[in-house]
Amino acid sequence: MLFAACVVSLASREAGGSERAAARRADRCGLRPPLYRIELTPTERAPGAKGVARLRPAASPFGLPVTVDGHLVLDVEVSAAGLPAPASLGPYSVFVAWATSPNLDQVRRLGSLGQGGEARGQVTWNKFMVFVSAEASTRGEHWSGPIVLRGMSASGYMQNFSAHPLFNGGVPPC
Amino acid sequence: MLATLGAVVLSDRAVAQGSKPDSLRTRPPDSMAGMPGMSESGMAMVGGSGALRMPPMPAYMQGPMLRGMEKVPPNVTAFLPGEGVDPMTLPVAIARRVITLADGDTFDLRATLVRRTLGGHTFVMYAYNGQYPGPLLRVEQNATVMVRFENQLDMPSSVHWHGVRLDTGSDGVPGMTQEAVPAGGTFLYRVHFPDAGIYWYHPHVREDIQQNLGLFGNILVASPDPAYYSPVTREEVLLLDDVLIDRAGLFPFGGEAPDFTIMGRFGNVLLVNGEPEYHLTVPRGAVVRFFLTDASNSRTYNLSFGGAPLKLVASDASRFEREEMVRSVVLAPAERYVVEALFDSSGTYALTNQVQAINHVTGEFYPEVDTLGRITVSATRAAPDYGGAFRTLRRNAAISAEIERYRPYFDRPVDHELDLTVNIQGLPIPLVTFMTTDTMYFPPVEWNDGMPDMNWVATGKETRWIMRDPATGKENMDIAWRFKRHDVVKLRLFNDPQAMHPMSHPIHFHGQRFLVLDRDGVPNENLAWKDTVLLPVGSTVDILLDASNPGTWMAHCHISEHLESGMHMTFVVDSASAGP
Repeated sequence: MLFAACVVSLASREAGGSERAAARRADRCGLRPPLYRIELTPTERAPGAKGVARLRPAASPFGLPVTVDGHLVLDVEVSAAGLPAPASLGPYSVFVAWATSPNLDQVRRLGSLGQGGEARGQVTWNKFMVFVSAEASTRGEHWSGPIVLRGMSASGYMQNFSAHPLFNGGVPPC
Repeated sequence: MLATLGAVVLSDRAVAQGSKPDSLRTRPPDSMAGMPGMSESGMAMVGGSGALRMPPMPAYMQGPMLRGMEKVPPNVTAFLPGEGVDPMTLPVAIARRVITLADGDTFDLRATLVRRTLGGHTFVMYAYNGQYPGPLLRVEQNATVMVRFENQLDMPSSVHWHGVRLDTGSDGVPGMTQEAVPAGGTFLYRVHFPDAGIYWYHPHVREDIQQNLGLFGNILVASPDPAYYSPVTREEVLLLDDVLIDRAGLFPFGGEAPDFTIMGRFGNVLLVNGEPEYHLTVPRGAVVRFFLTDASNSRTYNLSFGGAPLKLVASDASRFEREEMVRSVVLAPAERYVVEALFDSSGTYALTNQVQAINHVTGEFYPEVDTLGRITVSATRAAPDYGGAFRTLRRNAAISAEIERYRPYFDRPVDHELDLTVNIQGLPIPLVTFMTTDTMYFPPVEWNDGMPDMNWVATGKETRWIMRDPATGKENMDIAWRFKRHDVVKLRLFNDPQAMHPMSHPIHFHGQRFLVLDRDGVPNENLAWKDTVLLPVGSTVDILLDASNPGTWMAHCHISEHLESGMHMTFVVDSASAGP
């Protein structure tokens, strides 16, 4: 699935550029989650939905945009399709895209999904989740309605190997 | 803890290891942590030990070590400068001097071994003219000077004039523009400076060793236009570098080939102008123009000045089209930026490098703050007051007008592409196993060495960093692009995120200048002429190369260990002009 997502995303992203380059890059997908794309997985509240969060380093005069304390600044564009009407999920009128830290202690509203099913915002966390929820209002600072799509940044998939047999008393590979 | 470490000789090489060789081994601590953290008392280092040993690591990297790696040092002999030389017989290095050169002047530049003191400890290092960094050369734009280089090192060397669009014969690339200058040999460079700005010089032989040990210096090229920059209280030229030091001294280098070839060598002692503690005192309200150069082997910095407002003015080879306020400066190896800072309150401002470091073993980020120095602001009011000029964001019409001539080429098709990747073979099985398991995430920029012990083991014998032309399949020195003089060439550089261990690459084109047109599909709205561009992992960058300087030139990654592991190529600019 990851591989398929890569093909679709990169092919569309390169639409204005070299098709050959796009194909070549697409072929390389699948070894690890793409850095700049989060596939959004539907929840049971919206099983027919699909979505994606496209990430892009924010504009910067430097080689990479970072905050003073070194966090990468990413522009996030969330798009979704196949969502049910918000009202079909309860007393809701709109879908809102959010970003949160992995342990949910920080939340940032990226924006309401407009008629095109898109929302834009910015994220400056090392690891983060992106999700879409149904809400009664566009103005809340925290989600309260049901989550319909969610995904994790590539950085969130980093593994802790310190307890792995590779490091901790297991049989050395041979 | 270090007291528990012993040394075991393996195949004529020594490597530190745990006191119980078969027990779980933890990583060696960074005995220099907190530098000016070379604060452990009772340390007496003169010269250092050339024995191979585990590299020191910061506290957040402490933990279990990859099993099976206990007896696996890099497949190279250890090298430190001055083998067999009594350090006390070497001259003591002194701080950089400023040398003003006029058009037609001749200058003697001598690379030698020196005795150098860092944090109260003495090492054998290299220096130009016995200075750290090398002499700061001040010249006028369009001046030409002759530099008589004399190599008194214990290995061949050369001098590359980074970013300077000079004659190819003086570019300093052995095997391409000259033969390496042997120990005891000399070479005469004719250096012409067509562009104003901040440049630097360094060797192009085993940069991983020679540059790291202190062979670099700046050149400040002054424009004849007195209003080229805004008026400021003072100017400071800062060269940033880092060196890797442990309890035994300088951490040895790979002899036959570089070590630390995956991520490059990250030092644990960060230096500004060769000192671990930069200090500047200015009056309140002072505006200081900083000329920043990253001379580190691999480290990219994120610099800020204690919250002082910063104005970005210029980069490698020109001013920006328009000045803009920034909060920090991201400076990759070989890049230069010119920023102005306003210190409008008395007190102390810390010059810091703040990054989100990664430990690849724990899979976690760690905030890392290195204090590189301090700016003390006195209560005395600066006079004249340049605060108004600082707050004015200038548009540099001359730069925009010059770039305008190139704008018709912005939308031209891509002429050539380069894919950046790596081929790693022959590393110890445990390390390969880890690297093929730890595949889920690599940051766009490796701000730190997230796996120092594993990185250390990888040498140029196992690691081959690659620039690949996808149109021809040719790689590195098999690539031989050919342009006519005054060709304007659009290049697309792509840093393959699916490589075995992708890493950011600062790519440098010798002898020419270029514009960064587009990053990941986002047009660059504020241009400046560059000679080095940072390619984060996964990024695609389009540049427009002004191929105006004839000759045979090199393009390469400026992470020293990547360069020495193959990541360089050739391009030729023919003397025949492409047109008017």
